Amino acid sequence: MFDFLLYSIFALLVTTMSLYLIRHYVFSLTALYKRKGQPLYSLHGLSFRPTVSVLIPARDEEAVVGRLLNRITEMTYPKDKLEVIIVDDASKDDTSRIADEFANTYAYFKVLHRGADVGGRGKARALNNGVKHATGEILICFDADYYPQVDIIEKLTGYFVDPEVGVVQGRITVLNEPITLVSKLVALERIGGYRVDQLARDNLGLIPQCGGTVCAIRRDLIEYLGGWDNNVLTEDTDLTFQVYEAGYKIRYANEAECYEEAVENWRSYWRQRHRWAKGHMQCFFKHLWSFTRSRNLRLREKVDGLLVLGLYFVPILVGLSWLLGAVIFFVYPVNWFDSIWALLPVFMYGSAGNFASFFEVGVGIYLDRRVRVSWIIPVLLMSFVFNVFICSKALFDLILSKVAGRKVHDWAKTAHVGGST
Amino acid sequence: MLFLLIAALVFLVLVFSPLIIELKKPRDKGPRRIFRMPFERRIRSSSKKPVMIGLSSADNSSTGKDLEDILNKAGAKTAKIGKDTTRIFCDVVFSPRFEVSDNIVVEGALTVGDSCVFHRSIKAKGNLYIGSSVVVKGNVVSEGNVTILDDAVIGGSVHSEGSVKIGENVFIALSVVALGDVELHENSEVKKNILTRGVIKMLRHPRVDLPPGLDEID
Repeated sequence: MFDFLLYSIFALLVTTMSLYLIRHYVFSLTALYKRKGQPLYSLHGLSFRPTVSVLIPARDEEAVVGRLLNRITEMTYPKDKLEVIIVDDASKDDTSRIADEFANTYAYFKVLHRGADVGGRGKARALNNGVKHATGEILICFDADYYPQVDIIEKLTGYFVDPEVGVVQGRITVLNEPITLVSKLVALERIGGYRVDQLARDNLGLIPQCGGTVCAIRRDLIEYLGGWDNNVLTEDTDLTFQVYEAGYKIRYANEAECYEEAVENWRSYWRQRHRWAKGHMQCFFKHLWSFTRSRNLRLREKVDGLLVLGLYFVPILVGLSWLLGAVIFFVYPVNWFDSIWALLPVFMYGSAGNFASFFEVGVGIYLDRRVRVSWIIPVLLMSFVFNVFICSKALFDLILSKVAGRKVHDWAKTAHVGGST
Repeated sequence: MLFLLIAALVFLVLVFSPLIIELKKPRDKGPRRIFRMPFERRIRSSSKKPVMIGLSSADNSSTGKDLEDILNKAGAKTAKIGKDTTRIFCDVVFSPRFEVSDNIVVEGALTVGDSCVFHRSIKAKGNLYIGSSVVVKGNVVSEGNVTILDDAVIGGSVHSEGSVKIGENVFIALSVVALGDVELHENSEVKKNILTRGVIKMLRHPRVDLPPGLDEID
C-alpha cells in the first residue's frame, strides 16, 4: 500500500513536470516557426492617439528616477495628450526633490507626495493613488529604474483600437547585464520569458501576462475592476487574471522594448523572487475557482492560466520529486535497470524549471541573434536550485500568515543603484 | 519498464523534432515568388445561419442590458466584457437603422445593415461587412476581410488581417491597417495612413461583393 502511494505521488509529480516541459517546448517551437503579424497593431500608433497618463510609483529611487523622467521628456508622443504622474511613496531620499524639479519645468508632469503615515506599503497602493488623479484614457506604468524606447507609447497604445484588448504588455530587457553573474542570469530569464514565452502565448491566443511595468491599461477597465488589489504582493499577476475574468484580453507587444535595472546580488535576488513567489501563490488561491468557471475564457486559455497560476509551485514539486526519486532509487532497488526511471525528475528538471527553461532561453538568444550570453546558460541550473528553496520558503511563509490570519504582507522593495548609465 | 520506454521515446521526439524540422527546411535558391497569405482559410465563420438582430421596429436601438436581451431573444449566446462591451458567440446580421451604444465583439462574421449607428467600436473574428451610410464612431477591427459600402463614416481606424474594400464616399477619420490588399474608391477619404503588406488599389468602380444575407434583411 505504502509503495503504491509512493509510486502514485511520484508519477503525479513527473506528469505535472512533463506538462510544463511540453508547454515550454510548444512555446519555443512557436516562437521559432510561427511568425504572426505581430507589429501590425502597433502601426495604429501612428494615427490613433488616445490621451495617456504615465504612472511612476517611486520610493527611495533618487539614483534612477531622474534618468526615467528625462527619458520621458524625449518621447515622441504628443505632449498635449500626455500626462506624467510620479507617485512619491514616502521617500526618505532625494526622489521627491528630483520629481518636483521636473514638475516645475514641464507642465505635463505631476507629483503626488504620499506621507510616511500612508506611503511605503506597496506598489498597488501607490498606483491606486495615482489612478485617482489620472485623466488619460490609457494608463502606462513604469518602475522608476526603467529606461524605455522614445516611441514606446505609440507602440503600446496602437493595440487599443481593438475593443477586446484591456492591457498591452511591452518587452523588458536588462540594462545592467554585464555587471554581475546574477544580472546576467536575470537577463537570460528575461530573454526566455519575454522573447519566447510571452510572444508564443500571444501568438497562440493564450494568456500573456501583465508584468506590472511597461504595460498599458485602459483606465475605465482599472476603474471597473476597482483598482489594484492592495493585499496581493504581485499586483501584476492578480491584474492579469482579473482582466481575463472580466472578458478582456492582454496582448504582448514584443516591439515595445524597455530596459530595466536587474538585481545584482543573490540577496536581492532572493528578496525579489521570494515576493514574486509568495504573491503568485496568493493569486493561485484567489483565482483558481473564479478563473476556472469564467464564461469569457476558452478551454486552452483556462489550461494555460492554470499552468501560469501553478508556476511557482513547480520548483517545490521538483524538490519533492528529487527526494522521492532518491528514496525510490536507493531504498527500493530491485535491480539498477528497473529503478533507473526514478531518476526521471532529474532530467525533467533541466527542461521544466520554474522560469524560462534552457531550451526556451536558447531559442530566445538565437532569435535575438546573440552569442556570448549563451555561454552562461548552464549556470541557470544554479538559479533553478536556488528557486527550489525560495519557493518552498514562500509557501511556508504564506501558510504561516494564513494561520496567523494576516491579510497585509510586507512588501520587500528592490533597491536600485543606477550604476549602469 | 514500458513506462520508461514510452517516456524515453517521447523525450527523444521532443528533443530531436526541431533538428528534423531544421534539416527538412527548403534550401534558399535565390529570389522567390512573393508569398501571398491564404486569408480565407483562417477566417472564422460558423456553419449555422447567422442570428438576425433588430428585425422588429421596437428593437431598433439598444443600450447595455437591452442589447443583451435582444440578442438572447434572437438566440445568440452573449457575454459581457467589462461594463460597456458585448461579446456575441455566433455570426450576426444587424438589420438596417439599428443603433448600438456598446462596443461589439463578434466571434464569427458580422454584417451591418444600411444606416446603422455604432457609438463605439466593432470587432469581428470573421469577415466584416458594413452596409451603406453606416456610422461607426469608434474603430473597425476584423480578423478576416473588411468590406465597407458607400457613404459609410468610420470615426476611428480600420484594422484587418485580410483584405479591405472601401466603396464610394466613405470617410475614415484615422488609418487603414491591413495584411492583405486595400481597394478603395477614388471618392473615398482616409484621413491618415493606409498601411498594408499587400497592394493598395484606387479604383473608379471597385467591385464590392454584397455580403450573404444582406438582401434578406432589407
